[in-house]
Amino acid sequence: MVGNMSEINPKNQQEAQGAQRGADEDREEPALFDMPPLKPVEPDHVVLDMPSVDDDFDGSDNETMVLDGVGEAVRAMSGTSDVPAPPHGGPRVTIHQNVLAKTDAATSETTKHDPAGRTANGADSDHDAADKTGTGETAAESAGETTVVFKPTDTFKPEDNFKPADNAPDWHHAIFHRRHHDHDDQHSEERARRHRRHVMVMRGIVTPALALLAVAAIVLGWLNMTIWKPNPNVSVSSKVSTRYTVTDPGVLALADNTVSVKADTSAASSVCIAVASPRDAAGWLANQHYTRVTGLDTWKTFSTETADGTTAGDANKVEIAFQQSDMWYAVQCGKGSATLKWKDSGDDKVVLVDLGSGSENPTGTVDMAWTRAKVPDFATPCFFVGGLLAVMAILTASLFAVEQHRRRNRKARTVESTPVAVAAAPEPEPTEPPAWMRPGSEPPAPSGRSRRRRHSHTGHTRRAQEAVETQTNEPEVSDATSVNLLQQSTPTVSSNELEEYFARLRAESAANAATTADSVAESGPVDDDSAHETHTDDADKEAK
Amino acid sequence: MSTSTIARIAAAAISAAMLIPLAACDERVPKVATPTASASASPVISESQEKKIRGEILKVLNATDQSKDVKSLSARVEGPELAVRASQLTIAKATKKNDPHSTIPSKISQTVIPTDSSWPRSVFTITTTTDDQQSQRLLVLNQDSARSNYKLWGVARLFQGAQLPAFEIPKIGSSMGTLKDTGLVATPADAVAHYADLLQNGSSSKYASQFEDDQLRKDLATLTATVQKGIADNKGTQSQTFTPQSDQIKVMRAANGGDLVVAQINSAWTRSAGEGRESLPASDAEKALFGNGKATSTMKVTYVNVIALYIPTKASNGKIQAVGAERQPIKVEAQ
Repeated sequence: MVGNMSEINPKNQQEAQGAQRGADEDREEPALFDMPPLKPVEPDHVVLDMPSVDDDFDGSDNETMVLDGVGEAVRAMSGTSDVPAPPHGGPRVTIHQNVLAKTDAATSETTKHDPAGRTANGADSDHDAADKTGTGETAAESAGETTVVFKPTDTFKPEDNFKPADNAPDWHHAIFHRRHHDHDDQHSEERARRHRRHVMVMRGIVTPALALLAVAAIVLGWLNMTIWKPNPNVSVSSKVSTRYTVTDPGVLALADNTVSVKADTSAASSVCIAVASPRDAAGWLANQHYTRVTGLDTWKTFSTETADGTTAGDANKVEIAFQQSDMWYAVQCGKGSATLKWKDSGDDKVVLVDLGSGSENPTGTVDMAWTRAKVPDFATPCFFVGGLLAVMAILTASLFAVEQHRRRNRKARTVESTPVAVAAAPEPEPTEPPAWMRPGSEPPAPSGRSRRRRHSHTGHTRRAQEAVETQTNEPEVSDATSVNLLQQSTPTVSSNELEEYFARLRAESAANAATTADSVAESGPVDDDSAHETHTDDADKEAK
Repeated sequence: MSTSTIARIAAAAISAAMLIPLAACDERVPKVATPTASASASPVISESQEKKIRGEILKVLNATDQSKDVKSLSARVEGPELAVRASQLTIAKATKKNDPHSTIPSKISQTVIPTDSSWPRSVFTITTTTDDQQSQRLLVLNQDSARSNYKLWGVARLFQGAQLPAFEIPKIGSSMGTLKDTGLVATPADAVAHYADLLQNGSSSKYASQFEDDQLRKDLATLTATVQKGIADNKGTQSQTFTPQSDQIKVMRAANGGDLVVAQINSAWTRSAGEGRESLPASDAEKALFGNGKATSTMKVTYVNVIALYIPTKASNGKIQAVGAERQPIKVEAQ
């Protein structure tokens, strides 16, 4: 019956169609459904054939076609164990419908995704490849994940017959991509497992580590505030062996503006300390050998070096005493030792110490003591870092650990609402066409990715796109016994697509009829009428 | 590895790295910051320092005014002012009253502080008018070397209505000029020399066109004419020679590019009485200076003139203007 389809001539094709539909003789569909045979798909792929009461093709109307996740319910109801339960009740929908009649459970149920068998649309090959690799793993991991109700017989090869023609309508292709839906079922299980491991890592390892670091940082900050608080008093001293000592610009206000300079010498000469500008000090030190204080060597000593003043001109002018000079900003003298307190800004001033002319090689010590008004604060950054780490610890324990889960919850929540709405709508009104057949409604796609692909194919604008987009992978609970499952299942074809296809079909058939009518003149009007009727029907349908 | 895992690891690493700076909590010895602003561009003294210096000088002046002790002047007075002050003190001792021209107000209207790092340095200060409404004084405070103090070098009484150029504010400071400043109508040295020639020759001087008229020349002309009348009656002669002192010139650059020059010009006034008459001191001052000298037919009076000239820039095409002067006989001798 189903040999190589390419060799079937149209006449045989008609016969084949008739044979294929042999089991569907109780169907009452109008010529609307007179379409080319659909290719049988793998048993785990959902193939939507036209509504048939006998969905499991066992010759009776007692459908046992089940969805994943409701396998248990079905089993409970039907008592059969044919339906293998999925390893975990993950949200996954798998609908198995075998279009062709006469299938028996000959082959094993493990004929799952057969990557080799499925040839997809050219445009979807990449995605299929990705799916194949992904689902290959999931298939390996979860044997029996998908419920296989009907296994294909050996009599027909799915590869041969179930391949959509290249010029098939889009929803043909869409049908055969239901396996992505199954891929996502396995993928979502995998994600759930990974998420649990992620939560364990976050809560068990990262959070304690961050909390420990936060505590350490806060302890360090407290220590810096109390025990390790920097000393506000800085006292530095150095020995000098020249009569004059001068500091470099900037040493005066090294630690703070408040400084007390002290100089003393062993000889009982007049020691003087002056604060002057660098130029004036350099002028005073012309022709002199002096010690230069360049900075702080440690917290206790200066770094010094000796230098000679520039040679000046004649020195025969009457010189004034150190203390008398107009050039100093401040000067203090004393016998043997002198102390000068300076409070103003000292960035551009230097200290000049004169140990007196008492001895030939005077030696003495020069001390500078600062009282720091502002002490460096090392505690605040420690506290700040500790606070940040504490926040991070809390976040890793709460937000980061549940982020994906919450995300999933958010999706689940939205999806649950819509399937309930979708399921609720047909349930009370089983006689009405299912939601997906209503014009403008959006059928839940097997997967969001394929949905998008389909969207790109069809280019339709979808209404209620968002709500239904999230319906992927969510269990659509449906009572298998109460309603016609076909009506509220997850069809892959939207009414728009369907109608479009029907319209095209009718157009083609009308064209065929017209051509035949042209050749046969007397049957023209009838055909025209029928064509008109179909056309108007189409118009009516499209107008909805 | 998913991006979320990578993000987790990165976050953990960053939070661990945040603690590393805590290791730098040990306080470091402060380093001396090399001053970025060049110290040479700042004024050599502050306004408060100038005030202190001027106060010291005035203290000395007042003390010597009281004591009439010339020797104590040298602590804070030098240059032409020393000669002028000493003469004034001598005259005051003889005439029992101080020369009102020697009054220096304690308040100032402007001070011009140099930014030069080298010595000698001079500070130009312009006082207010005196209590008895005399004109302002231009003081020149000069520090010869680092090891000497500021001393009053010169005082010039500004002419009424004289226009001084503008200078930078003391916080910024002006720069001192040199004797050979270019870009001006004449170099300071030349300007002083030309002015001396002008004083000597009057309007017949070949430099007369370079200078504006000023009060000193007017006064001198009047004085000379008066004396001439008297001398002509006696069939005597008189002559004046003006000699600029090239090493006693202080120059300060004005904000507009011109120079303010304070210079000493010595002058000698020789009066000969004809017909065997004696030439006597012409004023109380000369009398005081002459003291108990024996008059002859010729009298030579030596003056120290301190003049202040404003030399404009060549681009302004102006004339040199004398803005102030001081004229003091310091020696009267019979020849």
